[in-house]
Amino acid sequence: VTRAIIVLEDGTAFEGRSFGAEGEKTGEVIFNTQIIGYQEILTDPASKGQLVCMGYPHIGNYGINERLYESNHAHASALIVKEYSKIVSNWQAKGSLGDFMKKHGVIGVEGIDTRALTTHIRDHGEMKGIVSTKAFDVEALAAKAKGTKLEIRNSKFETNSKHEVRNSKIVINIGISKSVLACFPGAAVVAEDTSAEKILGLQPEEVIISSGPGDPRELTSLIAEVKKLVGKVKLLGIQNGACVLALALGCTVERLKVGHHGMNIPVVDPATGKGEITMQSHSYGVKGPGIEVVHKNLNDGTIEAFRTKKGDCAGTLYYPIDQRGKLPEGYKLV
Amino acid sequence: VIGQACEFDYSGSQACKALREEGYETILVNSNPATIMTDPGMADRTYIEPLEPEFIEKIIAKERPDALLPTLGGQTGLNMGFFLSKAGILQKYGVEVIGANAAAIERAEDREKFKETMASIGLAVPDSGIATTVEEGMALGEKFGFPLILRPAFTMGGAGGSCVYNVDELKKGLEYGLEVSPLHQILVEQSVLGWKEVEFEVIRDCKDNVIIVTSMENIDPMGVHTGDSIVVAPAQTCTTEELVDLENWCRKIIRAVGISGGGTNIQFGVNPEDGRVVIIEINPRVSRSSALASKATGFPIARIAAKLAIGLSLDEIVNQVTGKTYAYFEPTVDYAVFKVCRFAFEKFPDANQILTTSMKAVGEAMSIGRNYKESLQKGLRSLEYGRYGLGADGRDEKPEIAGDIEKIRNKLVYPQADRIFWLRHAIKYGLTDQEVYELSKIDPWFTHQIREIVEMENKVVKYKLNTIPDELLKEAKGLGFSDRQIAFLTKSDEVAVYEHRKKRGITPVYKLVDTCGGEFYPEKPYFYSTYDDATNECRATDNKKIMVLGGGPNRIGQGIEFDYCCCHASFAIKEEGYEAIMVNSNPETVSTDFDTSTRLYFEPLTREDVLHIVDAEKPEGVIIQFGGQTPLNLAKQLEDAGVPIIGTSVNSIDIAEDRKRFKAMLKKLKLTQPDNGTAISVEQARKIAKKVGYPVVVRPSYVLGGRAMVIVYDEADLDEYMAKAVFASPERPILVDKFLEDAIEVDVDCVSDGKQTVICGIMEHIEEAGIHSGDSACALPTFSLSKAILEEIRQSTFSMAKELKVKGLMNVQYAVKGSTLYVLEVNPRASRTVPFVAKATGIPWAKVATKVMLGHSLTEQGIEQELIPKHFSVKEAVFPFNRFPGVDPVLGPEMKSTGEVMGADEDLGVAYMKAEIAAGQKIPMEGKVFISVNDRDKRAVTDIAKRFDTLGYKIVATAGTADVLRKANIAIEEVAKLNEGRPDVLDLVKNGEIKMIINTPGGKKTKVDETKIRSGAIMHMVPIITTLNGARATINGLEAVKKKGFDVKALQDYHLK
Repeated sequence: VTRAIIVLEDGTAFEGRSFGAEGEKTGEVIFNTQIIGYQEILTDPASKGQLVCMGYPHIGNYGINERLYESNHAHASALIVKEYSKIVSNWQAKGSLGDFMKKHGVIGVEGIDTRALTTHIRDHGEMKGIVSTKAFDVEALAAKAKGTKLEIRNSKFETNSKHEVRNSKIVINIGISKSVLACFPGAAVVAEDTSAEKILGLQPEEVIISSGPGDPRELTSLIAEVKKLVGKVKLLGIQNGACVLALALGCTVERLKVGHHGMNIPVVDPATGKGEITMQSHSYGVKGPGIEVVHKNLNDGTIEAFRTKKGDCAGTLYYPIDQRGKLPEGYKLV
Repeated sequence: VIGQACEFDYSGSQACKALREEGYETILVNSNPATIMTDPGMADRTYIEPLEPEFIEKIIAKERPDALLPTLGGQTGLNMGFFLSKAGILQKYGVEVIGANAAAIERAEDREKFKETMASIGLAVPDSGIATTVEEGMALGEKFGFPLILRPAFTMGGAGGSCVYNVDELKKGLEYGLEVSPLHQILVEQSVLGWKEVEFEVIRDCKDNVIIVTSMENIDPMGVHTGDSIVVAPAQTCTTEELVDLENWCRKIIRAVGISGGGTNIQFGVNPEDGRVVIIEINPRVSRSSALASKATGFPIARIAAKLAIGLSLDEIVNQVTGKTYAYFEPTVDYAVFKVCRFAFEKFPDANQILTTSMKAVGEAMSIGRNYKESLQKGLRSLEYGRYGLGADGRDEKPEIAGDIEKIRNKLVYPQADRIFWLRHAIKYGLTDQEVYELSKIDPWFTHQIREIVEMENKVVKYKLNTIPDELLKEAKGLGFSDRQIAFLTKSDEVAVYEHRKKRGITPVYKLVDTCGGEFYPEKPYFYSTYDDATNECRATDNKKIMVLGGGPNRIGQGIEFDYCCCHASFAIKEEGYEAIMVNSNPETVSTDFDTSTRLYFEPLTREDVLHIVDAEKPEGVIIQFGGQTPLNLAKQLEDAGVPIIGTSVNSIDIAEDRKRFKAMLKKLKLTQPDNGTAISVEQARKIAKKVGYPVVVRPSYVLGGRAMVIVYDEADLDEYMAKAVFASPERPILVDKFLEDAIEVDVDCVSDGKQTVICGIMEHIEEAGIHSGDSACALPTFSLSKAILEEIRQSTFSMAKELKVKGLMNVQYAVKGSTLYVLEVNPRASRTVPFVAKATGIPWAKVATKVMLGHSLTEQGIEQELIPKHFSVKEAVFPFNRFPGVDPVLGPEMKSTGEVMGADEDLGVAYMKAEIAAGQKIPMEGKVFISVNDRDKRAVTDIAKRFDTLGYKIVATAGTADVLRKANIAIEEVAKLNEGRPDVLDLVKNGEIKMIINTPGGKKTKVDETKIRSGAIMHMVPIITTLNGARATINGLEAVKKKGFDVKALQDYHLK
């Protein structure tokens, strides 16, 4: 049995056993209340660099199947669970979660009180942490976590060649998942440093700023380019993409004390109370002015979807899809 | 009844509270007096009347409600709503159906419409067809091939359903299923035996907001009714994709069926080999599964469903557990939940014990742990079968049986109540997870959890208590091993293990059921213990508090009545300014509702689990006299461990239960009991029987509900019984009592504060002594007892209460033979009849008793003297015989009923008839009555037969009885006995010609034929009366009803102050 530890920057520590890759990684510690979906969470680019703590105690039961990846590889840095399943049981399983994590360099910590970690973050807010299978000096690890500046946004995400021709929809990729991309069939995918001129030159009807990891406020040049697109083309932002759009519209974006990570989160139209149960994974929230609230989070009242008065710009902080990448029936994005 | 237990008391009570909160006036109809919901304070108007259209219409005419909410009363309530709507009664009085309209109910329940609806959204249904005749069904069977599943329409708990493997079974199954379906409609379905069974609880509001409360997976795959399956929540072995697909189907289904403002349970079959999905069935109402889902997640489905029914939407209803979020969200958990089932096959030894699609379980326990191993073992010890986890508790099968591979295979292939233990044997034998799967179709993931338990067992067994490393002991506790198991494995004893652990600091922490997996700080969570974690979320306060031990899983002899008492204890404790701490493991109950007590511990009721809670909470007192036998069995151990038990002392309880001490007490008080003795060998039993004279009642000591209790008429009978009762030994003696023939049995409940004793109620049984008091109908007030006897009963009761220094409730059973009063039994605790007496007299006796225990004398409470109501209340037992085809429904000293109903009226006969109708007896107002009685009863039955004749009934009898009756000038239609020519009496029963049967058992010689007739009558729902007193009460009732008809009256009007 290999030891493994998770230490938060405030010095809170939990020691357990390793079940994935070995090594040491620093990242944002996120708790997720989903019972299922570990494979999707790990492979979602928006999880990049995160140390994900699963609240549900049995993880890994149904193994791994690459058909269900949200991207080609794992993005999260670590998975922290209560009990890693010693057996894989599902007809579709192509391998175990532990092997997958070893292959993709995701550190696994099992056998800790994940509820204690979850409630600690709930009470004290999301913070940085460090996982290690090598060093176990809590004070040193906490100091290291505190001193490390996370470099989440320096990665490039995939594009496709469809943007050479005229496309009705263009996705600016800041870390999109397969499921979200599947909402825009036939769309061209361009890199986040593509200029507004170039995008407008392709004469799209709609530009989508994708979901992605990290702090959206750091995407200053993209925000500047999106500003130039406002009013010229329909704009849709998803998750962090919605934050980028909101910033371009002159709104404020703030870090939430505790982000929204789960698949049971209610959003409602404040006027009617009609809503959706949504899947979410975002740590940043949008505040006005100048936007209409389409959906608010029923739990904490934060804005989850907005649009401009004219209706040409809209953003959703949640993933407007279920875990299958399907839009809810009758649901319209913009 | 089986398939519908106290979960609907839970849902009904929740609904009453929820509707009242919204300012509605509520009218409640339920025939079950043992429920919390029928407490006069729950609804504004409470009718304890039969749930039959005739009675409901009368209530509607009287009360003129605006709306009817039928979705919270199980299948009974739903069917009633549907029939009232179809019959135009609701339209006639302008009553709107809320919760689920008739069209939605029909789309969900009518097999043809359901298939159409599913097809319209593209969801696969197993190949199936509807049959309304046996011939149609046989043709369908031929088309689909075997095995097949038969599902009668509009029945509860899969009643009348079966798996059939050949033409013979199909024919039988069709005949029976068509009979029990109220629509005479049966679905013949291609079997998906062995597929995963996954269910969901889904809710939709008027704004079209839909939520999935939770998924649940049955460990026992398709083929075993979900009510008989071990169930885990949430589902464990489906991928995200599979589960999300199923959830999306759920959303489509609830919309297509058209439920808006309510919930539904949806069951799928999932092929474990390729993921194919079929829809099995849906229940458009609050169900047993939804009670489980509520308790498993903390999300109160019934409460929410009631609020949605009156037009609120999910986003408007506050989640009271978190106190800061709304009902519009999907609950999530960070623990593992098991539901395990309690069966009663020991009561029905002739019943087929293989589990099928017709539910047979009588109760259930739910357990919570931080992993499945911990949770499973907690669940198994919660069942109180005398098992303390998954084996390794000293109660396992002998090695030569547990290690017999043929036996193992058989037990895995043919599911029985104990299959989970055979998984362990299979693993120990060396079968792989895959091999177990092939035999049982149980998912290897579950088998592997059990394997991990076995591996731990193998580690622990290598140590002694003084050598076992702390780490290992803690790990074993974390996998749910009880102190009993560890004691067995380390050759120690339970108390030593407990003390050792405490010394080493290996004690549990408490975690929360909070609906949200820790995402929010909850205001009103409940608690479970775990060893698998470091941090403790226990919220014990320094306030003064009293703890109540609940009754655990329902079983025959211990049901909802005791939960009623526990809840009242909790209410009284809170009223007195204490915190009420509840401990119970039964998810169906009101006591495990999140807002019944100040804090709820969802835990097994065993020594260690209770002691740890006492340690955490440090209550001023612990109440053990309300939860039935369960907490009573713990009394001595808890007292020895220093737990402050309040109320009647453990010593007094022991006096009542210990034969010798009890005998001595009666002698001292100059009270009479039937001659008796205690035998520890066959010879001794014979000697005692001879001395007291046959017939005698024999039974093992310390049993519940008259378990294994019989009346024997001669020495041969006695020998036969003793041969079976191999457990007669000094530790487990056999009790032999003189049986009082033709005596009147009387039940008395009283309350005492130590100084003063007040009678709560004196009940006279309808059936003669010898029928278990739980199975006998009884009336309050008494109807045939003389003033002198009643006075003697009172004085005897007072003197025993005084002698036992009772503080709280006491129940006494008497027999009156001639002018002699015999004391049969004394229970210084809450009895089964307490809620019935409370409803009959209008006084909440359990609450009164609780306040006595908290130090308030009866005088202080204004309870000065016995209150004898001016009207009659009759309690009748409800039996599960229709679940056990072929089992003889004759009554005896062993309790067999699973529930009770009540009928009330100024006239005893009418009250009795109401109770009979409420119990589901289809009492005919005309037609043929078959009478066949034993020789002893022949003379007495003549008068009864004559009165039936006078009322216009036709009497049918076989030769012997016919001769006697003809002599009394009664016109008789003579019919052949079985095997003496056709048509015989059974033919007439099957053809529906005979409307009622009066048949008293004749003894061993005729038993085989009689059993056929009696169980045939049950199968064809012909009312059967097996005692002469029952027959007399019936004819009294029929005469009264024919003269006066039925009227309905609210409980509140009976007890106007």
